[in-house]
Amino acid sequence: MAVTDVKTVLIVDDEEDFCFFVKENLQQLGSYQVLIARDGASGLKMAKDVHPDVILLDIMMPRMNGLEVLKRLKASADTMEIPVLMLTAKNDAQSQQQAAQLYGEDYLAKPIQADFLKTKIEHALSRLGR
Amino acid sequence: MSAGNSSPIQVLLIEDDPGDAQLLRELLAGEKNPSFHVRHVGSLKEGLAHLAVGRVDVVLLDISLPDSTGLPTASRLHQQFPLVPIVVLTGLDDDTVALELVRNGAQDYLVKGHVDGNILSRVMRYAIERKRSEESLRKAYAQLQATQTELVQAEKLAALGRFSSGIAHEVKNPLGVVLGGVEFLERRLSGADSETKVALEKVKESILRADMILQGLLQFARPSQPMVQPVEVKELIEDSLQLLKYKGPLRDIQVEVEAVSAQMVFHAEKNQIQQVLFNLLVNAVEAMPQGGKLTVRTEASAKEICGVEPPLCVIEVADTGNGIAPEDIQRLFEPFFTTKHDQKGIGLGLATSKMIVENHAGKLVIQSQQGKGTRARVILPVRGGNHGSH
Repeated sequence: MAVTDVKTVLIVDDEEDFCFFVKENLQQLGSYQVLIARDGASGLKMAKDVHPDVILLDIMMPRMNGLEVLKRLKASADTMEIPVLMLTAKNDAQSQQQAAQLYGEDYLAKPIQADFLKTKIEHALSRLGR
Repeated sequence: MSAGNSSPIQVLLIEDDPGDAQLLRELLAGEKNPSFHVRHVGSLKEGLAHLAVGRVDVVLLDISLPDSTGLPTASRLHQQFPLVPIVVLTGLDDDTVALELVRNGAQDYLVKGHVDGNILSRVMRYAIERKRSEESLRKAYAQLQATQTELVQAEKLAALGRFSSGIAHEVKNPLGVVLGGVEFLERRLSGADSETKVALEKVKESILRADMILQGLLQFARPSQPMVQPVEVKELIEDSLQLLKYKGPLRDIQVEVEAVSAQMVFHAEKNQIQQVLFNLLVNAVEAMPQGGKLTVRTEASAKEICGVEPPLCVIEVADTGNGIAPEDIQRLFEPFFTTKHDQKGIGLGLATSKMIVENHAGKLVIQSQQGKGTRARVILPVRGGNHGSH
């Protein structure tokens, strides 16, 4: 399979076990290379360095929460074009609204089935012509 | 009510002594502004019959009647006609009796031979006004009690909402890990025996059910105002059906999607409407344990449907399942009412769905015929709306 067919997914989430299973399941389901950042600061750095095709972003993280990460991603020319799917247990209208105002691509609630997550990732990529 | 305006006050005089009755008529005949129109009957039975058919502003009641004597006379009349003021006329001059009469429904107490026209007129006018005030107070108190009950309930729900949102993160994160782990095992054990696969499937169903219960509780305890955005109906239906398939195999259920235009768009909070649609799909599937046909269709309408303002988008989910018993149809949207008797639901799905749809200024309508199936229609205004009702 051509390298260009493999999509890079960056997960930014402090829940180690959750990240492990999302990575394993997505890589089994399709041509994905899944990278993991365990907090907001390393997530921002990895997004700039690697330039993933899509970012899955948790909200409730220590030190820098996901909405702050989203704001900085969209404020930087290097990362503003990367689609960001919020993937979080914090499923309330206010957070959804904030994410939408910051140009988050979608808002997904945990727990989430891997097939459904894959569908959402593909939707986001196709909307942006990736 | 005539007191305070030019119409005569309608008096029902219940007095068995013709002489006493004539004296009272003469006393009242001289009163003007207001004037009094007196209708006289000689027994309690005749008095009750007249009250049942005629307009009476006040009753003058002798408590020594041929068919009723003593305190029960006033209480019996009051029980049957609680809104009519009663002034008791008696030959007795006994404060104890007077107090008992007032406790049993009378507004006042007059002793025969100790009244003139002026006193009689004033007592009756005051009795009418006191009864009116009493009734207003009673209604205000009832309203206050109802409001208090609502406030207590609202505070309970608010407290539940605060507690629920606090635990949601703590519970949903480990649920996410468990679900991810089960799906990981499903793929790693794809060659395993059927019992292993069934076991994993059951675990996954339980996780999703736990999540739906948690979501239902959160949504019901703290309903969120919809964050309106354009929603493509086609994508909404595709995502919902995809989610349905992941919930569990659709054994012997044929799924058909009809008349869904790629251009059909309405404005709503997408996740909430998806929750509604998913809930209806799950109900439809669970209504067909032996298999059947599940149809999803849409329609656009330029006319009002069920009170929802056009232009409209209608999403319909129909099944060919068991249908719903007529006695259950009325209760479908009651919180915690469920027709599922195998622990599959706690009865919040339709109550929450109805609330979500109505928050979008829409309507959720369910029709069903036992043995033939059920049809659920989500009717939404295309331009979006927010009634914020709950």
